[in-house]
Amino acid sequence: MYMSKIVKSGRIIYFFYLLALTVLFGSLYIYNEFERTSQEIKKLNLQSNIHYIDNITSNMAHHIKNATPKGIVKTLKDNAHLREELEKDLQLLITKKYRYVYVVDKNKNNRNFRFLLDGAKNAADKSDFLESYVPLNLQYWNEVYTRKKAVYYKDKSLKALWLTYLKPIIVDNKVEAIIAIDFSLQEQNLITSALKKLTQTFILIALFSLSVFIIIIFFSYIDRKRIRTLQFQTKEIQHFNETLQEKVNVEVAKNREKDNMLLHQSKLAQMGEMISMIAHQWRQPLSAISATSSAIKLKAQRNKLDKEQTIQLANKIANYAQHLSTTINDFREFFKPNKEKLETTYTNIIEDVLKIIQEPIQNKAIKFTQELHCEEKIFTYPNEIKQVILNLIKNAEDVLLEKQIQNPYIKLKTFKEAEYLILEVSDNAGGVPTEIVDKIFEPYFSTKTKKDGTGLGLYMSKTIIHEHCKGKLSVSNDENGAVFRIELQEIKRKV
Amino acid sequence: MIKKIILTLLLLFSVLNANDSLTLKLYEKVLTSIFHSQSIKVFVDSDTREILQQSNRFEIVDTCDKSVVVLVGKFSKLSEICKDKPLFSTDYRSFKHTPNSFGAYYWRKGRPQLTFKRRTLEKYHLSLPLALEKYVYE
Repeated sequence: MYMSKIVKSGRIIYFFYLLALTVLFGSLYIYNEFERTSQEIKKLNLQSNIHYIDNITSNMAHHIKNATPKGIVKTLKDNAHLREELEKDLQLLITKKYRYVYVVDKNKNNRNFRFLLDGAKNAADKSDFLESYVPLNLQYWNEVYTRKKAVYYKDKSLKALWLTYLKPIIVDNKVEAIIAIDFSLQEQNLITSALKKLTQTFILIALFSLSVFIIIIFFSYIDRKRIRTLQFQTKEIQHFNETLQEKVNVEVAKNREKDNMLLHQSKLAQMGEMISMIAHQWRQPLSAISATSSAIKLKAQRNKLDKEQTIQLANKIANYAQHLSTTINDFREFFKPNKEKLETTYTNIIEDVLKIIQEPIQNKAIKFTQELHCEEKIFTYPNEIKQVILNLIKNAEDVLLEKQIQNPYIKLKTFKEAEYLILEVSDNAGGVPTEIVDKIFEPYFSTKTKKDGTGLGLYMSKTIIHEHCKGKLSVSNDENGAVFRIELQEIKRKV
Repeated sequence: MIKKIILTLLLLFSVLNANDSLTLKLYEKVLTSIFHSQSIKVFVDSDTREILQQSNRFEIVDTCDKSVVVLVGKFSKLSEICKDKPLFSTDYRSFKHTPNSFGAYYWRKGRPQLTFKRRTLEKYHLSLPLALEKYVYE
């Protein structure tokens, strides 16, 4: 859980940095430790060899000193047998590791060195007694005389695998002779060689670690960059989200303003239609009033107007005037801005709509049919629903007339489907073409000419049903024509 | 295995060559400084011949009577004429025990050694440069 949080926060990268640094410094530390230890091993090995040789040569020096009480050179010169015996003793020391063992001294006459004893087994390499000897690296040999201490050196000029150890034989605090031993460094070299191989391995490990370090740093850098970009984008999204509500509010306000404007436009259009319908409704009673008043006038001129006829004609005019008044009231009621939700039924709404629209439609030879099978109550804005139904009927009327459909009809059908109350307005004008079916509820979309349509009717109808009445308005085609369907929820009553 | 053998032989060859080269240089330096000549007629044995042939400072002769100096390992097989010539040895004991031997160059304990006999040098009226005086055996 905690690890998951670390991974998500991007802090895991620091763990990798730490790991890489640990690997690098660990390798360097191990390499350094190993290098130090290998030097130590080499040094200890050499010291161990030197210590061993020093012990041997010390014993030998002591033995020679004891065997030559009158001085080494004098005794050996006088006693060839002793010389032979001592050389045999030296010979015992010669192994694969200790190649040459011999005793030399410095000739007091010419300051050159000369052999006193030689442990060589090979006769060809065996020196004679007092044979002159000029060693390489003479300074070390002289150093033994001056320092009176053992000295060892490696002959660098010969890239020697041999080390020469020089042990002084001291008599009366004077160096009387030197025991020289050449011993093999092969063992030492084998160790050095093995250590060198190990060193190379450690260098490889260190290089590998360094590579790993570089790779980790490189990928960490890339990942860090990616995380930074991600963080920047997240911040931008957060900022966007923070300002989103504000933007939404602004856009909603704009839309509301637009809707109000559209509503205003729609109302103007409806008003035009209303005036047109009033004019149509009034035309017949006005003609009748005009005809009646003309009849009164004519009869009065001919003096044929009696009291009974006058009352009859006046009543006729009064009836026509009452009809005009009723028509006006119907229209005023229909378009009254009623903002209150009321309990009603589809049948009531349709009745009110038909009062206005039925006659004009039937006058245009369009058949009106009703199949009303829904008396369930709805709680809504009746006038707004009426406007929508009126709009749908008017649209059907327009398209039926425009396409000059034979036996045109408009059908109103209500029924219940699950918990929804359905009202369908259908016609036999052939239906909505499929290529425009998705667009017909968009604002300013109209198939009519500019003069006849604003392109707002269906848009406003949908807005009213969806936004105000929380219902659904949709369109489909049946075998005869378009079917506009209004779905509203039935009132739920507690039992 | 074969690779190891070849490597060992090459190493040995190069070491021997290095020793030969060192030996030749020493012969050139010593003998030209003693005999004061740019080209020295020398009688040699088969071992030394190979080394001296590499230098133009030496003219190798077939018989001792044509030579200025005789440079061999063992003097025992030399004719009497040869033995009368100034002898330079590559063996310490030959040098030590042959009266006419004035100098020797040989190896002891893996180290090259150079030595001269004062008496023989004087007998043949040979003089050494100062740098070689320290190798004189009285």
